[in-house]
Amino acid sequence: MDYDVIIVGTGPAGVSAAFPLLKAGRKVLMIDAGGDDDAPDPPRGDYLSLRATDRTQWNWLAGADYYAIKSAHATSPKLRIPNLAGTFAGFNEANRVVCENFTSIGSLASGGLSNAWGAGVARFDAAELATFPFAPADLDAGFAAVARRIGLSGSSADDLSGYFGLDDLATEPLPLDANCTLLFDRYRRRRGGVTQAGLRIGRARLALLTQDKGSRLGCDHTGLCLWGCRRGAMYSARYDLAELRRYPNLTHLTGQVVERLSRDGEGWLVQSVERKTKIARSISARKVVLAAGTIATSAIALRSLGRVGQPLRLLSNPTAAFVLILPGRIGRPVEAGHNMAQLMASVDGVSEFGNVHCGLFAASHLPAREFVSRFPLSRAVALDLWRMLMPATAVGNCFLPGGHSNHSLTLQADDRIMIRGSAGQTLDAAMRGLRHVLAKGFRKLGAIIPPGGFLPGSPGSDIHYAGTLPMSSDGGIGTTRPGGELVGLPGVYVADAACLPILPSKPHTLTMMANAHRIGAELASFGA
Amino acid sequence: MEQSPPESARITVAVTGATGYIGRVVVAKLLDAGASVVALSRRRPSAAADWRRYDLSEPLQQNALDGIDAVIHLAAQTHLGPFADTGIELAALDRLIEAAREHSPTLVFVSSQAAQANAPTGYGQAKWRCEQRVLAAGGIVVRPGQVYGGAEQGLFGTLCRLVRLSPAVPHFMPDPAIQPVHVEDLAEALIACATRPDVASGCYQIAAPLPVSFATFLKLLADIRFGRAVVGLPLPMRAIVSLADARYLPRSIVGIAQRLKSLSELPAMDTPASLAALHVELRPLRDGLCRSGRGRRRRLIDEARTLLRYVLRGPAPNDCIKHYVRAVEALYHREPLVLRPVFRRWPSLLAVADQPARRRRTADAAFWKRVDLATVCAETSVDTVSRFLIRDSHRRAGGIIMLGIRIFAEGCRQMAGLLAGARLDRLRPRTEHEPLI
Repeated sequence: MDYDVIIVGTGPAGVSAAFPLLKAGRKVLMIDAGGDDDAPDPPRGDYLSLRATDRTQWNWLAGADYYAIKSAHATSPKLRIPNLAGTFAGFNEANRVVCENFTSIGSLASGGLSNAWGAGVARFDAAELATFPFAPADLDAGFAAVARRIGLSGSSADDLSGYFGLDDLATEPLPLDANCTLLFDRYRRRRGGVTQAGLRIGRARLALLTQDKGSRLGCDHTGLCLWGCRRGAMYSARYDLAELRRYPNLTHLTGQVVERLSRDGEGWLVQSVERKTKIARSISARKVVLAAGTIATSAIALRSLGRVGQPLRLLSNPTAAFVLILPGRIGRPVEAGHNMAQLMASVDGVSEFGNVHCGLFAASHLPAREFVSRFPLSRAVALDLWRMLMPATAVGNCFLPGGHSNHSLTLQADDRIMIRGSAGQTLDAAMRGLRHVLAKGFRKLGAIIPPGGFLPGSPGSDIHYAGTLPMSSDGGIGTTRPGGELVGLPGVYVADAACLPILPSKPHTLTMMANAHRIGAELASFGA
Repeated sequence: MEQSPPESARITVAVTGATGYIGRVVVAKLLDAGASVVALSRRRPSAAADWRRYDLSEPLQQNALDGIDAVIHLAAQTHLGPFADTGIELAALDRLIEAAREHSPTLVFVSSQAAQANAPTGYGQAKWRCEQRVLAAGGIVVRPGQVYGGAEQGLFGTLCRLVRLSPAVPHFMPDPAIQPVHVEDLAEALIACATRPDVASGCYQIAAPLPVSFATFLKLLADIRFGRAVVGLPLPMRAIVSLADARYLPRSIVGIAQRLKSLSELPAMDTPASLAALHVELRPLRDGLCRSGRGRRRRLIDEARTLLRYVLRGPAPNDCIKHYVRAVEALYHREPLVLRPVFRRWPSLLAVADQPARRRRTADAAFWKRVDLATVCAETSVDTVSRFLIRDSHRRAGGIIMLGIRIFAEGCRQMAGLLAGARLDRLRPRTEHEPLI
């Protein structure tokens, strides 16, 4: 056996599983497909001054290879940021994923999707964890370890304290920008009416440093979050990977796309193909942890199980985006600030599957093109209008509970993975209810959602994929055991969101990482 | 198009009429390709070619064709047009064929679209007789369409002067159709005939396969080459031609009219087979009409200026223009939009074509993508930042009032757009290949 454990994927789940294994002295190999090593550095400076002085801004706003223009139809502004191109590139091709009515987005890069993460964090509460086949307290150690490692901020005694459940693990929040200060002040004064409408608002809880932590520096509000933070204030699994490399018992192998696993005596052979040369390779280990991201992990599991034509249910959060105008702020100067979520909101009573989670962001760091092409105005007038509106605008995104999603993921006979997107029947009603509550709640705070300002997203565009191989105590093939072990492939564990039994609307990454820590810690003791 | 076949590197080509409108381009291209050139002309050519004196009306000099591998015979009394003395041309051709019999070079004779056995004009009949002699001697005949582009010489020069100086241009009724060919493309074809061993004796017709109306040609010439909008002055073709004998009218116009009339009585030339045989690809008319003859970049720059000016409400910085042009070249097959002069002069009028209701119905149309591209390019320059970001609180009230006025105007425009329906959409700039509806 080459290794005790091979971990496939170096994203947030992979690194979280790796720490306890390495601390226990296991000989670990981490594999990822890599490929974004030549990603351009994030710009240096602050957004607003760079816009006024940087003569190379075309390169990071549009891309020397016209990336932003070529990705005009992608579902999120993040997918048009040239600096993130390497994070998303080549995922579906390498994993042979095809879609119908679904947007599949994944990452081959070291650090995975966390390179482009919005950094929203929350802790699944007791009700949500009730569907997990183990005691909620089993995740406590994981939450504590992960929170300590990645650094959380946003602790605030507000209406969402219980909802996030992280205030004892987080530092104080970042300052709010002018729009959100206004909204939040009004909310605190008039909250009765707003909460009655079903809308609760609190500070954003983020995996974002407000103070320096080791080699990572606290946020300095330069507004370049979207392009990747030069200071390392936003968490990326890359920072953990750098930390992990200090362990002599870790080997990190990059450039390999793992295709399938095959039995090798008591252990497993991990069969991969080098991304650039397509040369096949196999490496053996006693145990394998799949943490390649839900879609890639499901693909590897199905191929290894030889399970053709039998669909897995894929969960994801239906999304919507909205814009919020504060009329008193129209035509004011634009302010500097970070562009992670400022405030977060929870909307109750619109979905039978639970609350809807929303984040509120500043609009000033998004290119005008993201907005003006939707205005029912000729372009010049649309730009006239947007210039005045932008300082008064907050942008919201909403995640509905995964229970509304009805997607399937199937291994086809031609070895491709087919994802078919589909929504439950009640999604439309939930969207209408959401729109109504948001409009009503924010109207009470003096903010307007303009006509056309609420846009449901397309299936899969949330990139919150989960639940294909759910943990259960008694499930058959296509599920995982409480310890993450894949039924049908003993010794193969699933540590990413594929093993989550549910996908509530609140950010699931932190719970996924805590669970990966738990699985890694349990696995660390095998054979001992 | 730039490189000639390698054969020309070892070859010596004689060109009669080497200082003429077409001849100069042929000589320059031959020299570029590394061929030796002997200019046969009355005047010494300015290019670095050998010169042997040659006059259509005089006997051929003894050594005229010594060491010559091919002759491109362009010399003709072109300045006289249909009034040319066909007898002189025929005699000169006979002398050339006679001399060629000794040296047996490839003979390429530049004829006329009018050449037909039963042509309505004596000129056309004479050209046809010339062609027959060349073919009988194993030579190659090239019939060019309406030659344009390059230096303002010959008939093209006359047309240039006309559209440059006159506010009105003749719009003959009925409007004759012409098949244009850029002088450099024609030169390529002639050089191919003279230098490529695989080109067989025969008659090659070199012109755009699809005719354009003469009035359209003049308007495009005025617009693209001189940036002028000209008015067509209706002139009855029949009357002009019948008045011609009385010489009441300027000779140039009569010459053009007679030539056009004779052509309009002939069937259109079927050129694709000839173009394919010679491996010549003609540039689009709009590109050729530009001064450089390579108008695509230039038209893209014009397009970038226009759309950016529309989006920015002010002049576009150079970096925005550069990004726009390069993006169209990289992403949209280098294909420019056809922009009416009125939009280029007043880009803000593009708002009339930029109707959001139309955008929804014709989402794939090129114009919308270009407006989006212009928006991206406009936004990524340090010189345009104040168009996108408000950086101080001065003039807030003024800004809001101005915005109100503009939105009111937009409302009126959209009302007009609704009333005009699809008709207004005809104004939307399109690429040359985009359908009108």
